[in-house]
Amino acid sequence: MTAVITARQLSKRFRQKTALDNVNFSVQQGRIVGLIGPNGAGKTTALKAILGLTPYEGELDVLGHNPFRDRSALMQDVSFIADVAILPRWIRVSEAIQYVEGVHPRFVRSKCERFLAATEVRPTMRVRELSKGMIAQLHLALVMAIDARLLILDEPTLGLDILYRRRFYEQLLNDFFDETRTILVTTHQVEEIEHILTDLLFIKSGTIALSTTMEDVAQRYCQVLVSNDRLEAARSMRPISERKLLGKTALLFDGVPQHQAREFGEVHQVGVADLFVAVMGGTA
Amino acid sequence: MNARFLTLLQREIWEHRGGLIYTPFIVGAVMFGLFLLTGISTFYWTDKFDGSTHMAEGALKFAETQLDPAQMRLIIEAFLWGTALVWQMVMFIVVFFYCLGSLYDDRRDRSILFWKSMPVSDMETVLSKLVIAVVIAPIVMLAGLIVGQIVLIVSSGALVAMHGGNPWKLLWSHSNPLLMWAQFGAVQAVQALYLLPLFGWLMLASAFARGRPFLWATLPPILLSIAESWLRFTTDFTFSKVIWEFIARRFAAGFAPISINADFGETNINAGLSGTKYAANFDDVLARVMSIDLWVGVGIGILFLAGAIYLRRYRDDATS
Repeated sequence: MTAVITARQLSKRFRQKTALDNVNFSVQQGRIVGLIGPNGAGKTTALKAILGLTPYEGELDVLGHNPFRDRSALMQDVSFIADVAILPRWIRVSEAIQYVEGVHPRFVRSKCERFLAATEVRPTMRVRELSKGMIAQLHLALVMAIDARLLILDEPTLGLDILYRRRFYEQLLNDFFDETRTILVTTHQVEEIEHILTDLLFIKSGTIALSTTMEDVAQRYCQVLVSNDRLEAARSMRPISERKLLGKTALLFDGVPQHQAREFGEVHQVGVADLFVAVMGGTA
Repeated sequence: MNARFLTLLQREIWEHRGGLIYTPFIVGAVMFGLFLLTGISTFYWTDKFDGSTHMAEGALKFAETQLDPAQMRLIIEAFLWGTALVWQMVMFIVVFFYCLGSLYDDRRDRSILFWKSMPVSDMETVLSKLVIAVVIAPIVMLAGLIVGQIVLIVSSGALVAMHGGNPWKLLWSHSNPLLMWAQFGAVQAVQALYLLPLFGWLMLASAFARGRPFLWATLPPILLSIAESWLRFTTDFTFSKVIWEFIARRFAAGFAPISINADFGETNINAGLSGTKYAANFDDVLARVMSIDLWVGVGIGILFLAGAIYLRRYRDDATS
């Protein structure tokens, strides 16, 4: 496997606080990585460092580039969608397409037009006339028409309704993603994308709290619904979290084999959201 | 200039189509409107109400028979240059505010994150905006000026003809607008260099400001004067005076790069006959090219632009 992103001792300090504190992680090619953390944990700072938008301390390699030094060269291989508000409101759809075609050597206009033909977005419209969902469709069409190796999504579906959100990720999987590409995504609606993620990066107050693959999560963690009479016995296995659920208690175990866990009750797959709450402890 | 850079220029024109492209033509339309109003009021309403039916025709006759061709040329050139300065003033204000918003507006609406997601360097971005301010805007202004003045020249000739005057003899034979337009273009080239520190400063303030770029652009020279008065316990602003004069010369040139002998009194017309070749005084402009002031300004302007590029790269306050 080739690493698309490698961070070593990555730090970013502002006057008031440390946003990233000696962080180490890597992202492999062909993966869809969820970068998940509470507000203010350093997600956006990490993405900005990767995109070359902010200077940082430590080592950071993105597709062989030092992102801050080579931002404009890096952007030939990296695409980026932040929440829907960042497309300039005055621009026309046709102008946006012409602009990207003019500055981006890997943009394929016909692809973009094909994606847009399936939407309500028309070339003569201005961004300010589009709904949030349509702006997201336009941005996605622009980005998917770029033959990029790394796509970074920062809350790309914020403020969209469920129909647009689902279509957004479906399109991304069907029309863009393959084993040569890599996607790094942050979102608060983690339940909606957990089935497409291959890797998880939990970030907590500027440090990596968990870095793992979804296969590992399925093997390592399990959630058991324990009735009250077995609760004490189950607790002796040292669950990493517990919560009340329908008169029973849901215990989350790390590294307890399934056959052992089954003795205490019904065993379930662990959802990313539950795992997130457990790992983050009281902070979430 | 490659296709990428042309795309960046195109982007600026899309965003500022109204200010950069339409304004020079709107100025022409407004002046044509004013021309019609004055034309109608002098030739039509005076005829109708004063009973002095032949006043206008009399004036034309007088001009045709009594005025010297050199005097006529002076008047017409003063008219061409005088109207040109209207274009100049309006576009100076447009470009002033264009520069002030150039590196600020997209940070305010966060679209900078979209522009920075494209393989375009910060230097290319800043230079594309500078080229708009000092090359594209003046070229479009010149185009608007030429169209507007052609309309004014033709329609004033038509008005003269309607009242029995000979437009060729009275107006058209005396001046060469082609030469005047070429001269105006040359003036714009000098302007580009002379105003570089001003536009560079505005772009620096635009890249620096987290809010209110206008204040960031205007306050520092004012604060400098206040600081000097405190530090030196004096009202003799020696240091800030140099800076203020430097700024004042830029504004004067920005609004009116060339002085005009607009006085048609006896003496000046005589001067026109004996010495002054043109209504417009080119000596100012030529002196500017040869002056240390201009070249020091170019150096300062380049420093400001380098600062703007640096800030464009290092400022990351678009998102919180």
